[in-house]
Amino acid sequence: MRDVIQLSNVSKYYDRYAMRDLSVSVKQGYITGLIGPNGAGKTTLIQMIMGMIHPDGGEISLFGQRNALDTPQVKDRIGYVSDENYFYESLTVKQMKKIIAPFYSKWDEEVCRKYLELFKLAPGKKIKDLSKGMKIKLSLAMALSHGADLLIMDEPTSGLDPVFRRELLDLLGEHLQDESKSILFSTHNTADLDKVADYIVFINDGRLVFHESKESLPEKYLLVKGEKELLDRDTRTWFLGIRETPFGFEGLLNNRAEGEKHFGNIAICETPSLEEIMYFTVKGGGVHV
Amino acid sequence: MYKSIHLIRKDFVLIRRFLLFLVPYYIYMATMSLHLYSLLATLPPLMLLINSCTQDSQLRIQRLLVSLPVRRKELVFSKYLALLPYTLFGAISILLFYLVTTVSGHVISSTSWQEIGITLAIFPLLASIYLPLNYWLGAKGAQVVNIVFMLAVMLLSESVQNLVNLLSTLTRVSEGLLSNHTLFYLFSGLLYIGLIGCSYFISLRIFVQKDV
Repeated sequence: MRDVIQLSNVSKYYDRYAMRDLSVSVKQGYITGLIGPNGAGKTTLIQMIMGMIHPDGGEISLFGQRNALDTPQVKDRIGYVSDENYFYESLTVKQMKKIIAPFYSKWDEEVCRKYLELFKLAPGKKIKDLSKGMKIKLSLAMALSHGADLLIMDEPTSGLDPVFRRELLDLLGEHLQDESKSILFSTHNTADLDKVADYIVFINDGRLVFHESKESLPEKYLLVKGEKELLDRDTRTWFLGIRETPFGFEGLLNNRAEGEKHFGNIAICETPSLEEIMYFTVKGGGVHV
Repeated sequence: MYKSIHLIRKDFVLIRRFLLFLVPYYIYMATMSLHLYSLLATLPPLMLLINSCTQDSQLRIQRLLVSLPVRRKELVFSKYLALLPYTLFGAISILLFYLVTTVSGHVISSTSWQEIGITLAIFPLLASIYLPLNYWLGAKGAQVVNIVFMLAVMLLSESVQNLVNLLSTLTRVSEGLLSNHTLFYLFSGLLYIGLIGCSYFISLRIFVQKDV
């Protein structure tokens, strides 16, 4: 299985934030979800992959090519979607399309027209008059119209209504019918990834928490719900994160087998959702409610 | 190269509406300030350049441009290449302008033509100072630079005659030193291109390393 994106020990330092020695990959033919709380470094990571910001250390390979961030042939194969409106506000949808299209070698006018119709984007409408959701749809239409082998999407569902969100996830599924295509999808809304992702990359505070296939997560993580009496100084250290309430506690373990052995008969053991994994990992130990 | 052409085309799509604002400007100039050749020749191309750079200097737009299959080098090169059509725009508009004024009875002296030529040649030099500053300072800092450049052109317009005299003196001195007209013009041309080339490499160095 080939990696379309490979980051090796990538670092980026800012005054109040640092990404240190991050190594992750995106596999061809799959949807990789990039999750993490706000400020975790998802956008920084995507902008580094897109060549918008330069890493201070490490190496990024795209389609097997090292340091190809400024290579037109590589970018020709990438479709970029962002929740930030990065189009010229004063132009119409049609004018914007005419500006973007000539740069892509595989631009398909028919496909573009199909997506604009599907997303109900009137060609004559000014971009400044589009809602945030419509701007994301335009961004998506542009990204899907040039046969991109890799879709990189930074929070694409953030401004979308639930109906179109579901349609978008279906669209991504369709896009991946061609096994040569791959998707990197960043979001803090983990419910989207629960539906479509094959792999999950979880970053927090600029560090990699895990990079796993979605199927392997239930085998690894366990959510324990029980009475507070079960928590003592030793057992607390087993948990990645604990949430305590007046009535008991909830805690996340990253060793399911051990967890079931200790708590199987004395507490409720459940498979955590992605959101729960993210929540407890970010919050850490001792959250009192 | 063809990508640079598309980038210039993009600039013209963006400034298309702005061109309409130049119509009242030319009407005003025709009626009030016919003698200020430099304002006619330099200000409109500079305004077009500033307008296109201002639209592109916003971070989100820079991200769009960098996400396209274009090298950063080409993005910078296209801005310098666009100086040709902008200068041509200045030249054509001034020719049309004087054609109209000549038909209406005005006489343009040879000195005026010399002034027009010099002011047209000044635009790429001004742009060579403007562009590296624009890449360096980004959207916020560029606003100050824009105002400074507009003021500079307006002040320059008042002293174009002095500049012509100075250039004539410099020409005489240089001709004396070089004792060869061809060599003098060759040297001046190379210096002119060299300055623009230096500006391009400074802009390139700034933008290639810049995080957007």
